[in-house]
Amino acid sequence: MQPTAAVATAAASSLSLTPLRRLAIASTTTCAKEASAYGKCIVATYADVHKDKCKAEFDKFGACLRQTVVVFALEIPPHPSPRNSPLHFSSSAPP
Amino acid sequence: MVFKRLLRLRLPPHRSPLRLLASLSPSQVNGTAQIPFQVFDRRVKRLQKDRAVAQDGGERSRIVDYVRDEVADRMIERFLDIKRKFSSVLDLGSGPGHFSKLLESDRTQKVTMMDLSKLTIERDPDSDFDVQVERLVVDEEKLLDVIPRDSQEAIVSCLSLHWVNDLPGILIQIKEALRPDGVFIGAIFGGDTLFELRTSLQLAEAEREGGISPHVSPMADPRDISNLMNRAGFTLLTVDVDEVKVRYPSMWELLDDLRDMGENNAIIGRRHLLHRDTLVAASAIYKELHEEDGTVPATFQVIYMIGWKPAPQQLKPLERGSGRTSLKDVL
Repeated sequence: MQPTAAVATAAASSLSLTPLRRLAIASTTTCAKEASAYGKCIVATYADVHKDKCKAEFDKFGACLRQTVVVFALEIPPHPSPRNSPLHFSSSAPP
Repeated sequence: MVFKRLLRLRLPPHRSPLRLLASLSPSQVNGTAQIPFQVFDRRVKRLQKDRAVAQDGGERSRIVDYVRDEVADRMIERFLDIKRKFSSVLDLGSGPGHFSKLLESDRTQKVTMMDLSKLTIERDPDSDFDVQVERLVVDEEKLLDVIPRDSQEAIVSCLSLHWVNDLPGILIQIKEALRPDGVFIGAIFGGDTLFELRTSLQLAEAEREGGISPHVSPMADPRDISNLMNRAGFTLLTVDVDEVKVRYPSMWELLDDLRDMGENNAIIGRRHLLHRDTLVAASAIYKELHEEDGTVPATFQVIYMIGWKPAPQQLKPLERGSGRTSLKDVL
């Protein structure tokens, strides 16, 4: 599913988007339909959740996210400091 | 011989290249129970609070003051209900002074703020306060090391005791630090706080990774608080529960705000990495379970407690059987 032009321009206009912010936008706005399908699958069976219970729905969600994040990466110059990105933190304590 | 000598060198685990993703395991429970079980890492909590206030010169921290300011407002109402003038009040775990800023000089002369984090306690200037301020950068768990016994007229604590390892112990310390007929007013986060986030993360982690780990702190149950206050030795207890519900566009903004408040996870033995898949799964589940009007709510359950240190001149309940008026005559 292609991300909408509106989201892409909104994202592109804010050059200081960290990878986490891009993931957040992708998961809530761009891929909202797949997210909702995954959410519904979990809610239907939440009393009995185990690993990969809703794997099919999540795989579709993940595919949409990967596609969106790639488009973001192509349109926006990569954020220069990976240390600022919470995705890369390995420990809450300072070195 | 050379090999034996090399084996005696003990590398700290986090520097070994084979254990990059290992987290520090929780500390062993002391068999003789001399120290209480450590749930939270106080050093990490101090660093997190310092870092939260250091962002943008404190501006980000000020933007997310809304929860604490709301609770401080409700606490000051309870404080003003006490018809007494205080010459000094101790604000335990004050943060930048959410409660202390609301004190007025006609009722209180001086406030002593005490907090774990130096940067937080110094975030706001003295001009924001109506009363005279003294700041102490001390870990709340070491209250009696700094404050002499039987010395305080009033101790307040606005939303900081949920990071204390030994809650029964700190309540006892507070009681000891109070003068006879002194008052303790506290507000603490209750067990239902952030239950939406906790359950979404648990479901996501169970489905994506096959297990769960603590992301939201264990918090006090409202029913346990009155037991704890009684055990600590307070009398004339008042305990009530309230809720602050805040709406966010999505789970991500909630997580951002919690970090800016300095309320990140500091449980010993927590996982240091939250997998991307788990995060997006949790965001989808949170939205599906709790969304209303395009926003998601986050609940902060607050337990307010008021307790007094016993004193001879306090009103006590009458002896059983000493009643003179029968209810039958009145009704």
